Formats: sequence, C-alpha cells, structure tokens
Amino acid sequence: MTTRTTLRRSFYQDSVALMGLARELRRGAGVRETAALMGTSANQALMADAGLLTDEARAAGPNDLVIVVRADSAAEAEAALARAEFLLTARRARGEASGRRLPRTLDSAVRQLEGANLALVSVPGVFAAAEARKALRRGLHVMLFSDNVALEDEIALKRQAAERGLLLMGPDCGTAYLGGVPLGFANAVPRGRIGLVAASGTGLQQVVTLLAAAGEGVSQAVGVGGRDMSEAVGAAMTLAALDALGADPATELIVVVGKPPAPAVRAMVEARLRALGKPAVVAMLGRGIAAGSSGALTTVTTLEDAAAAAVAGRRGRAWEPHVFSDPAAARQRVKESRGARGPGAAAVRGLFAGGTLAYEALLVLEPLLGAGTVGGNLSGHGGGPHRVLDLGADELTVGRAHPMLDATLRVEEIERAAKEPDTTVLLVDVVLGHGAAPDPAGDIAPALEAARRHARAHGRGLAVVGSVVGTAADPQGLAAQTARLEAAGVWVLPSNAQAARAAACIAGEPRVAEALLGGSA
Amino acid sequence: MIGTRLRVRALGAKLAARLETEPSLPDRPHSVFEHAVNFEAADGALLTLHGPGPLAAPFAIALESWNEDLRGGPRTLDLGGAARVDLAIRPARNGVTARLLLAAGLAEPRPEPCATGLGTPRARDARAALSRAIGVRDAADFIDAACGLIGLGEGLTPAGDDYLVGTLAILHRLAEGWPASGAVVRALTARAVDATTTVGAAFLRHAVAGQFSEPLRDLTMAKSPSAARAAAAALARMGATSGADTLAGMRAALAALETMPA
Repeated sequence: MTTRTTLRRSFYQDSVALMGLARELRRGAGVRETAALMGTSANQALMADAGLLTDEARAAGPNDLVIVVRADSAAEAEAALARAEFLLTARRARGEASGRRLPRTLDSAVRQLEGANLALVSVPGVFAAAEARKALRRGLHVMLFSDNVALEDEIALKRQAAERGLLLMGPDCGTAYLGGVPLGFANAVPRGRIGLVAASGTGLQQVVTLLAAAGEGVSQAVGVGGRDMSEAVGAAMTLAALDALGADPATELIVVVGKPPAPAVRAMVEARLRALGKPAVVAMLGRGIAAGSSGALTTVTTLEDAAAAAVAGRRGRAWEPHVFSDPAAARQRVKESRGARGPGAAAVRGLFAGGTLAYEALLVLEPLLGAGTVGGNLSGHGGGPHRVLDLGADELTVGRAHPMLDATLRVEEIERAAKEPDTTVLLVDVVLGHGAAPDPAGDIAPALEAARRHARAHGRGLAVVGSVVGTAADPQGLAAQTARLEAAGVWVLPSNAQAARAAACIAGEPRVAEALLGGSA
Repeated sequence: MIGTRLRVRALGAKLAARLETEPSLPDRPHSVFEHAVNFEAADGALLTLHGPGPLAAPFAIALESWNEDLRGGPRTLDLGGAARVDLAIRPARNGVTARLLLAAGLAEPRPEPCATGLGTPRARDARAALSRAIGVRDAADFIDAACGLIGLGEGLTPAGDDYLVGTLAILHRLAEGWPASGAVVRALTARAVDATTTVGAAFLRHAVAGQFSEPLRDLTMAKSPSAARAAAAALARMGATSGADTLAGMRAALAALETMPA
C-alpha cells in the first residue's frame, strides 16, 4: 500500500467538481482511498482521519488544491494522479486540440459559427435562464439542458420564445433530434417519418429505439421539459412543437410522450393534435389513463405501446397491445425463476438509471403486485415491500454524476438489495447512446453476478430482469451490451414494460403469472 | 489610464461606499470562473464580479452585462446607475413572527444534499457542538465549534464555511445580538484568515459583521411565507452545493434556538 500526493497552488474548483474528481479516482485500478480538497487545516484533519495526510498535504495552504491517493502499488497511485491531472486539464486540452479558441460567451460562439440557429445551454441552473434569454434575443432556438431553473423563469422564457417563433426546449431537456442531429443523451436512430414531442428524456429514448428496431425512423424529436404540460406552463412548447411538426412535410405521424398533464392542458394538446390532421399517438404515463383510439388519435399506457402503435399507424395496420413478445419463452423463464426463488416473502427491487423508465415500471408493477405495495423515491409511490428507485433523481445525483454515466451508486444499491433476504427479483435498465457510459452493462454486470452468487449461498434464487434501451448503431452496440448482461444471468427483455411484467410474474402471487401468461406458469 | 468602464447594475451599499473613492480594479484577477471573476484588492479585500442577477456575495458586484472582456487589463467600475443594495441582516423586531417565517421558508421535507465533507464524523461532531453552544448561549463553546467547521469540506468556499454563514444569518436575525460580541467576531475573523480559502474567509468576515449575499438576506428578512419559500429555493440554487450547505446551517441554528428561552 502506498500513498501519493499532488498539489495545485491557488487552484479553485467547486464542491461538485471535487467530489466528482475524488469519485472518479476511486474507480481506478488498485485505488483504495482518495481525497480532493482545498488544503485548509480542517481538511487536513479530515485527511488525517482517513490516513491520507502526507507531508505534502500537511504543507499545503488553504488556497491550494490537494489530491491524495492511497493505492495497492506506487504505479497504481501514480496512474490515479496522472488521471487527476488529465481530468483537471481536460477542458484546456480540448480547446487546444480543436485548434481554435473555444468561445467563452454566446456572442463569440455566434461569431465563430455563422448561421447557427440553436444554442444548447448547460450551465448551473442559477445562470441558465439568463443564458437562454440571451440566446433567444439573438434569434436562436434553445435546448436548455440545465435543471434547477425556476418555474417563473421557464414561463417567461417560453413566452419570449413563442413571441419570436422559437423553440425553448427544457429546462432539464436531455434528449432531442433536430434535422437529423442527435442532441444530448441520444441513441443512433435512422431518420424517418415519425415526429416526437417528449417531456421525458429516457421515455423518448425508449420509444425511438423501439421504432428503430421496427425499421422506423425519426423526422424530428423535440424535448419540452418535464413541467411543460403543467397548468402553470400550459404546454407552451408542446403546442409550439406540435405546430412545427404539423408543418414539417417529413413528419407523417406524431408521438407525444410525457406524464399526465393537467386536464385542461391535456384537452388543449389533444385538440391541437386533432387540428393538425396527422395521425398521432399519445403516451401520457400515469395512473388512470386508459388505452384507446378516437379518430386519428391513439392513447397508450406504455412506451413500448407508443412505439408499436406508431409503427402500426405508419403501416396502416390496426394496433393491438401485447404483454410479452415471446409468451412461450416468457412462460418457461418465469416457471424456472419461480421454482428457484425459495420460500418466504418475495419482493422486487427496481434499480433504474432512467427516471421515466423507473416511473413506467412503477405503473406496470403496482396493479400487478397490489396498490400501495411498491415503495421507492418516485412521486406517488407506496410503502413497500417492493421498491423502485430512480437513481438519477436530483436528490441522489448532487455531488455525483448521473447513473447513466457512473454506475457507482447503482452498484452500491445492487449490493444492498442482494443482502435483503426478501429480494427475489432485481429489475434494471441499461441505457445506451451518445452521452451514456462507454460500457453500462459491463459496469453493473459483475455486481449482478455477485448478487446472484450471494443469494445462492444463502439458499435462495435471485432473478435479474432487465431491458436495454439502445440500437445496433449506438457506440456501445445493442447486441454486445445485451450479451454482457445475459452472460451475467440477466433475463433481457425487449422493453422496459415487458421487463417489469416479468418481474411481477416472478415475485407476485401465482395469479399474476397466470393472468399475463396463461396456464400454470 | 482609466481603461474599460464596466457598468455596474447593483452592489452592496457598504461596498459602494468604499468603492466611490477607488473604483478601479486590480489588473490581474485573483480567480476566474465561467460566470464570475474575483479580484483581490491591495488591502486583501475580495471583490466578485458577475453578470446581472442577485448579488451572490456581500462583496459582489453585478454588472449590466457579462462578457469575456472582463478577464484582463485595466478596468474601472461605473457606479453611476448602480443600485445600492442593503445586504445587512438585522435583528427582528418581532422574534416570534420572524421565527415562523423562517420555519416556513426552511421547511423542506427533502432537504437538498450537502457536500460530503459535512457528513464526515469530524463535521458531524462540530455541527452538534455548534448547536449545543447556541442552545445554551455559550460563546466560548460556539467559537470552538465554529473554528472546527471553518475550512472544512469541499469547494471554493468550503462546505463548513457555508454552513457557518447560514448559522450566523439566523443568529443575527433571531438571537438578539448573541453571539456578536467583540470576542466572537475577533476569534472567527482571525481563524478565517489562515484556516480557509480566500473566498471562504471573505464570506465569514462579512457574516460576522452582519453582511450576507442577497438570496440569503432575502430569505432571512422575508416578510411572508411565500417570499421565504421562494428565497430558500433561490438560495438552494447557489453554487454547486453552497446553497444547500448554507441552508443546512440555517436549519440547524433555527432548531438550536428553539431550545432557548423565547
């Protein structure tokens, strides 16, 4: 074991950056412990508590950044410090590598890229509204990636955008496709004839990847932010985006994805869809929403159904929802898992990177496992014994990267769930695409394997069920990621909704499997 | 040579009075961030320049516009049209009402997560000791506990400093002058000089003197529950975790004061 230190004199980073740096270094091979703190005397005491107060750290001043790494070997410690150096200077290096000076203001960016018509704003929430306002004043559409933007700012920005005939996508808009260009967390999908408006990032990703799997492509996909369809915002951007898709000759069918809006807003959105005269599918995930068709408007209750109904609509076929793509295989797999699960209480633990995927799982599980039996951290969740966690929720991601980028939190939760004696099914999602981790399946597979081993050692079976949101063209590769999960014993289903149903069949009362699969599963 | 004149939109009233006679900035900034630049004057006082918006520090200057020309060369501040903002937190005339308003603003079923440094055993001990000292109004114990928090944790303003600033805001408002004795001010100011970052020390120096950022002042002096809640939300958005760390200090101080005789 060896400890190494590096100092940066008069070097400032905010708390989130320093926590992120420490966490990133901790992931390095052979690294046991790290600290990335300003060299104040109180922080030196913290380092001493952790056995990390080296002579160099002791000599640091309060305005010096101190990075300390304890690792199994000197080479591993040095490698971690080199990684720290790289991360701290990565921004400057990116600027130099590009061969030009990176713009530091919107004006200089516009000067560098003549004809630009969209600004992607990703700065801390307190500054985001001002940046978005500037962009709108310059006649730019805005994708507002930042979260923590005040509701009153959102309303004002959207009013300003509407007055200028511009789109204000967001806040907290993570995914969009405009003119064939994927923005933010986006999968590699073909261009096509289906236009989407979404108040949900991973919801949009699930739909477009399932469309791609069925051979359909995207004309445009506009993210509007999770609050757009609230009464306060009044669907300002949803309506603007629908008008844009209505006027877009490349868009033949429209899909709207989100959570249930206020009743008046929903009526407004549906009226606008009808007025556009194009066939439309509406997927508002929530309790009390019933599937059905009315004229050219089809209402569905899952993301998979949204994609399936859109494909059917494009091909002039009637659409029928299905429970499992391959019922015979599902029946066999459920039977095996139920047989192995052992006696006693049985609970589902859903551990999700995608917020909308978590919410969809909750909506699928609840009626199957019993109202109020699914706990977790989602709005309107019940009290257990089952649990669905959105690990990307704001309160869990302060000071750390989103679980689509960093699996640390999910690995910890998998380990925790595995030790709970009633855990019968682990339900997971894996989201691929631009912006996601390079190997998200590989990041969690060892923990899932270990969880299954732990359960076996304690005389019970643990089923792991999941789905992969991705395409063959994604940087990570859908087939490779699926194979990695399957090698870890995960039952990978074609959609998140099917995975949630499978989990309910395994952990629920026998009647659940009988109802969904028929016969005696 | 005057150099570029920077039009100031708003700044603290106390800072304005000081800058009227010397409105030029040092040539070289102390530290540069995406949305703020710090300058350190010859006397060691810190100035933070940022764009339009609430004053992020008692030593902050909000400019009419924010652009890259700020980052070098001679600069002079144009205070002609600047609003002078009173950033002082003063004792409440009606303590009961002020407590209720603050309780409404700080009531949050799911508080924002703080920097991890505030969750360490050392920080937890110091926070508990600080609350105990407030509860029994023991100035010496308060100084000891506060000194344990200064400079502790992640960040440009270490999380412990933010926590302490939040605590001091509550005490200025509700504790009828306690513990703003000369001894406390001197002890914390002296400790801050060499125990924390330059920026953290500047926040603490101002806090013991009753001067705070605009969002923190707005929350502490709020006149209605809705204004208090809105100000708390604005404060929560400050910095990376600074707002959350400050709110944690405020909540702890408010709870500790509940143990005091009204």
